[in-house]
Amino acid sequence: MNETTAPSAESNQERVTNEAERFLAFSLNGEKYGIPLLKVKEVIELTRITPIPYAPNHFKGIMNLRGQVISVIDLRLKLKMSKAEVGSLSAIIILDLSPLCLGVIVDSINCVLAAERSEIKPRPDVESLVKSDYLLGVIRSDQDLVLLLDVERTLNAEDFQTIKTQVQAA
Amino acid sequence: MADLDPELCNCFLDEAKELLEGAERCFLDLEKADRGPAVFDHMLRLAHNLKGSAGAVGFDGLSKFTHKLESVLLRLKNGECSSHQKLISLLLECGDFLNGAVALLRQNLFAKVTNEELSLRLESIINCKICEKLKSGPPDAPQAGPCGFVHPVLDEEQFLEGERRVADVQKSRWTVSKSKEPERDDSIRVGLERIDRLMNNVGELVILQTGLSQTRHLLQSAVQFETVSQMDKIIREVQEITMALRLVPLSQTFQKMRRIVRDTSQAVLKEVEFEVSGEDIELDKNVVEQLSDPLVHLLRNAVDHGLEPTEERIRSGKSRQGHVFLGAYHSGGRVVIEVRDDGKGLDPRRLIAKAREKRLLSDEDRPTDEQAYQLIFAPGFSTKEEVTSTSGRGVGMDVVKTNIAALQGDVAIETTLGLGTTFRITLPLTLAIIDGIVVKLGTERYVLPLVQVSETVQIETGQISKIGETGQVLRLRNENIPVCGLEIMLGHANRQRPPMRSVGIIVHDELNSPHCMLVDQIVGQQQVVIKRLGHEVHWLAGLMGAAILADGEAVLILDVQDLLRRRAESQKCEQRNKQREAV
Repeated sequence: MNETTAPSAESNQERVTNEAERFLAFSLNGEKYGIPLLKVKEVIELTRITPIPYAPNHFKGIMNLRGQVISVIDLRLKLKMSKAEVGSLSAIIILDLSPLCLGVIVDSINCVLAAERSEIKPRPDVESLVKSDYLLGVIRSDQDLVLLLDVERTLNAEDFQTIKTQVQAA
Repeated sequence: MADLDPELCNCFLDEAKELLEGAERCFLDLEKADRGPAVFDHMLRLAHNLKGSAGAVGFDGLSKFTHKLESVLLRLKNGECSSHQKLISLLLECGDFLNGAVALLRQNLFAKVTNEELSLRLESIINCKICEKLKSGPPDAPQAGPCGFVHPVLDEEQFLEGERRVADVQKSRWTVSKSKEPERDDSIRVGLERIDRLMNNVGELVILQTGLSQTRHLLQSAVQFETVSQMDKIIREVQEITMALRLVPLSQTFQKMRRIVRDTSQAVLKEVEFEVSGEDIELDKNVVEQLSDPLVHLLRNAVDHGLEPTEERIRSGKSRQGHVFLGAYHSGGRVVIEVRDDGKGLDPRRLIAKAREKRLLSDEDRPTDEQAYQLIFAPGFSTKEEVTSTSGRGVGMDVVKTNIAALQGDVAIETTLGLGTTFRITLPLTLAIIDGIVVKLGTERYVLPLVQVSETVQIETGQISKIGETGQVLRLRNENIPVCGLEIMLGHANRQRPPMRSVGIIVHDELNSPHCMLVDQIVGQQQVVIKRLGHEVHWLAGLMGAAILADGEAVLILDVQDLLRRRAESQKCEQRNKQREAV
């Protein structure tokens, strides 16, 4: 795991850290992903999710977050990966994409990464299961490559609109 | 104008909006025969407040305009000109202009708001010489003054009467100003979003409390037991109070309707007396907002179509003035809103003939009178030959039907040919809470709105018989009711369930024909708070929203009508496909 987020590392390089962006890193289908920390409202453990009829496959259903009803998306299915067994590490990341508030299910949460602008490399043409449109870029953390997801583009509402028309046509 | 304080300005704009609403009410009151002299004072006070505040925050244009308006009102009050229709129309126009100006300023504080034409018309009244003469002595003959208004002929007696009234006004002004404390507004404005957040948390509190109450027998100490019981009561009360926060009175909407009726009656040249009751009845804010459009259409229709022209009324022995009534009252946990006119009523034969002409009905259809009345709600239906600015496109009643249905409400028509028509809208008190039946289907639970459920039946062996390949009907009290599993309606077609062990839920579709939906089990009946689904899912058909049950799980509230409609459509599609295959 990357330790650059520790406060001790920040103290002597404060100016640099200020310019750095922070990402929440998680695993999905053996690959490592990151999303901007500012978009994350909270992380909760997997709770009961009520399925919705006629909803697209990746649409897991709705859940109760302290009295608020929130839609939950299975990020694996949304990114066209194979379905995974829900394990004890599975978690729901609640994203704040105002006005939308969405939960996404991921395999496990890893850590918070800090990366300076210069460390973020443009998306390479690597062999990944993810459409490269959905990526902001990549960063290297220890031995691993972390793919930075553009959550808005991945989960945008227009996407749902197209699904809507498909459902109606069906 | 350069140093406008935005916060101060917004405060003023809020205040101005309220003042203008009050002013419009006064202007309309002027038309009433039984108006008291107090209305003039009230009007002047409003105008004066508006002028003062506008000047204070720096809206000079607004302040100058209001000053002119105030001068006219003063003349009116002193009896120097009479309050006839044209003048009232002018006053209302000024009100409209000011309303528009306020809206414009809200968007852009530096917007230029002037209306030369209205200013000039106001000035001409202020400077009108004939009005002056009216003050000093009776005029010789009726004549149009330079202000463009025909001053009424006053013979001496009438004039003295007028003088007396002026004296009355002056006398009463003292009493009015003495008795009236400055009006205090003891309410605060709170954003709807904050209330929703409060409601979410209170809902959660109730759920937690239910859990605590259910396990309180495990508590050792009597004091703790007592505390939990007390908390139970208090939390319920807090919940009730929170729910009531969303309620607002109908008065503002009804106020708007008075204006609509007045304008419509002038446009179609009919004399109308408009009566309103039940303005203080409170409804959920969302309901009140969405009620406005349907009421506008119903009232316009009542004046334009419902009431006969004046000559026709006199011929048929009715009063010269048409009567339109708008009222609200409580009835069994719901609110009823009535729009009534004493016009010519609906003629079923004419409606049917028109529907045939518009091909909304085929020649074989023989609708009953009640069904014929429902035709007016069909989109594109209008009995008017010409399209006017008031009506004739056949859109309005369709809007009424759809808007009211969206509010979980219902519209009924009662009409007697020659005597008048009544539209009765029944609405739930609030959109935020509904009575629901919780049903179980496999491991999932769903909530069905109680208003949409007619009855529930335990299905016994032999009650369901097969028809064709897939169809099933339930025989209930000599009626054959089509049966469908809820899982099929929800698109989980591959689930199989022995029909013997299910519960049938009888529902009625839009055409009032019964359907039976099969579910595994009825869990119970309870009030649920409707949570709106995020707009990423709200377009999915058949869903009214979600509810959080006592154990904290979020479940879906189904819109049965919508599900039935969807099923009917898909069946039609299937049939068409089959026919195509056969060909």
